[in-house]
Amino acid sequence: MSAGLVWVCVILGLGAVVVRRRTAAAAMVAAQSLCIGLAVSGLGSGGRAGDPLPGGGLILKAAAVAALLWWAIGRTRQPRPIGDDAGPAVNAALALALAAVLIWLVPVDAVGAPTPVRGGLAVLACGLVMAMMRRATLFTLMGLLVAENGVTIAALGGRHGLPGVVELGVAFDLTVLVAVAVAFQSRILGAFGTTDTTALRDLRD
Amino acid sequence: MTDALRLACIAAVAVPALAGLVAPLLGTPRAVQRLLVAAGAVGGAVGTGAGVWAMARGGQVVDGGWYRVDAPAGLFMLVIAVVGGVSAMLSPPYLARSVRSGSGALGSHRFYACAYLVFWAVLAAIPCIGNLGLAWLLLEGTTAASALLVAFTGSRQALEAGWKYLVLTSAGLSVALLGVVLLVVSGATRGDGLASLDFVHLGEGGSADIGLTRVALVLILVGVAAKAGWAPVHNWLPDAHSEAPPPVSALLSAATLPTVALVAWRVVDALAPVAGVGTVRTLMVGLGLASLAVAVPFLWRPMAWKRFLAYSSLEHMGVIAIGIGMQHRWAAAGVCIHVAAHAAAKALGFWTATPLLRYQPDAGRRSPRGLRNLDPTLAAGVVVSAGTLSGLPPSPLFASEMLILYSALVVGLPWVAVLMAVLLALGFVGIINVLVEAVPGRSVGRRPAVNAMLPLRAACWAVGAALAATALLAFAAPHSALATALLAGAA
Repeated sequence: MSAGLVWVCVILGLGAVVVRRRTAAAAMVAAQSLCIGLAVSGLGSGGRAGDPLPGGGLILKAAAVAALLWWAIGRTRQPRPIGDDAGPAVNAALALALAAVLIWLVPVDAVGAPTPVRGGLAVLACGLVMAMMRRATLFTLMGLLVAENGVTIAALGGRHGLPGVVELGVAFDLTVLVAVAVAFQSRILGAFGTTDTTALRDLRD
Repeated sequence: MTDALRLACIAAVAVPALAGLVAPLLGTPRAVQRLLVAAGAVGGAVGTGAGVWAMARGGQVVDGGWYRVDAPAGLFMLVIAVVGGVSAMLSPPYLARSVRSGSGALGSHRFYACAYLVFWAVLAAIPCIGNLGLAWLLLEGTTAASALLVAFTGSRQALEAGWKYLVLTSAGLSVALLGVVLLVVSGATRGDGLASLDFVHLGEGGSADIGLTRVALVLILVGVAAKAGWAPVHNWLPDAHSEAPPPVSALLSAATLPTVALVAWRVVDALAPVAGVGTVRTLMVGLGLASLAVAVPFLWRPMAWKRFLAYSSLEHMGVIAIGIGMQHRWAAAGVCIHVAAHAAAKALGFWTATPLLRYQPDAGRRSPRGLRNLDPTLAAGVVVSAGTLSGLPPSPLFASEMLILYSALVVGLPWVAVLMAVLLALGFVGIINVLVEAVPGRSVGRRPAVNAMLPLRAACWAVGAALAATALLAFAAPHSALATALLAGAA
């Protein structure tokens, strides 16, 4: 994966952390997934030999996930956007700080291509912050997607990356998981009248 | 012989999978209930046969690269088959009185049967998988089906529990996947393609970066811990187990959690030579003691029966983690016995919950009361389950905990043995306290008809017999032929 494409993915991840609108975040997540699919298939590999089958699978996954997200957004429209406890600047700072910590903790100097691994860790950090800090359930879901994208980018730093069967399997599993999570969205909205995760705090000991 | 065992393992997965695909095509709720009973009986019998057969072969391993059938795989297949099969057969009484919000009776039945049977099938495949990448995929696969089941009733609490379970376990598995990626990147694996992630090839890469391998191991264990319910990443566990339908809770608690631990066990055994036995011990003992320390205070608090069982699962997963971390043959024997006995006792506890919640609905939100006067079978189910889970001698869990404690002394970790013993003793007192409050006293609720309790009575006898047999085996371990076989397979 070329360094330029890694940077594009990191910026898209960071963008998804800070944007207010769900549609904008969904577009960024979909674009990031598409970039990764293109990189794995060899179109944006920057030297690494492409692997058309997993690459095609990841592109298909990007399309399916985008469609599911759009469908979920359409099904769970609410009168007012759900606010967050922290502002975009705080979320961005948290994502950058977590990325720095992860890159510092994981010793990748000896790895053949450290840039994708570091970029993947940064994207993973964005995903985790998004899942933890954003209050709308759809943002939590998109955070998980961004985190998984980060892992896929990191895998491109290895000599061979993840085995193709596993990459395809991860894409399939993730699509199924997104479908299940999308099904949860409408049921949560029906039961709670909102998709704000702060409403999901009944079960405590 | 090997081909026949391979076919038996495939059949153990195929029977529930095919039944799960047929379920949405059936036309009446009664037909779906019959399918669940038939699939439970056939799938359970086939899986039990395959599991016993794999264990009986002792140290002989069927190694096909990405799949691996050995004695430990046989034990876990047996556990999954018995718990999955009996839970399927006990699902109709639950379904007869529960409807998923937004669906009719037929839709609810179809949805439940399809999701349950697919969940069971995916879970049944995991013990035979000899490849970390494929094991990860199947673990993630169980999440999707089981999250839908946790939220089956559609109540606010069930939706909250299902959502938490989906998000937290998926986030954990993402972290574990990063660990797998770093393992590949670190050069700790041998070979190319899918084979590079075979458990037997992990840690065999000649040019392994030790630091990166350790980071990868930490990430894999922390990620898997979120799915196995190990503290401090266990938050979903009490909610999911208390809100899911009781047969699903049984499969989640008695079979799924230990099966996830099996994956962690295989990773730990493979990477211990590279990452260091000390690293492995620190990680697993840390997870285990944290789980025990978090669970024990909740075992003292009066709470709903299923929620109490969930915290008991956290406690027992802690014991299993410590046993895995010891990296000693006696601890390994203890873990195997613990998995089997915990599965039997915990499953019985959740199976008891269906009639308990029907005849004493308050037990869904507070601790049960006056069970002896309400119904002797209900009281027997609770006593056998909780008594065994407390580790009361001669429970097989007492023997397994002693084996793990003793191995901690043998490997030179007396402080672990002391801490574990103190926490287990506190947990024991808490559970006995719950039993004292639940069984005697004035009957609360509606008395059940005798016929309604027949399935639970049969389950009580079967579990009692299984626990007695496990206890006999446990007190013969670690020198019994079966324990030797299990250890030979684990190595």
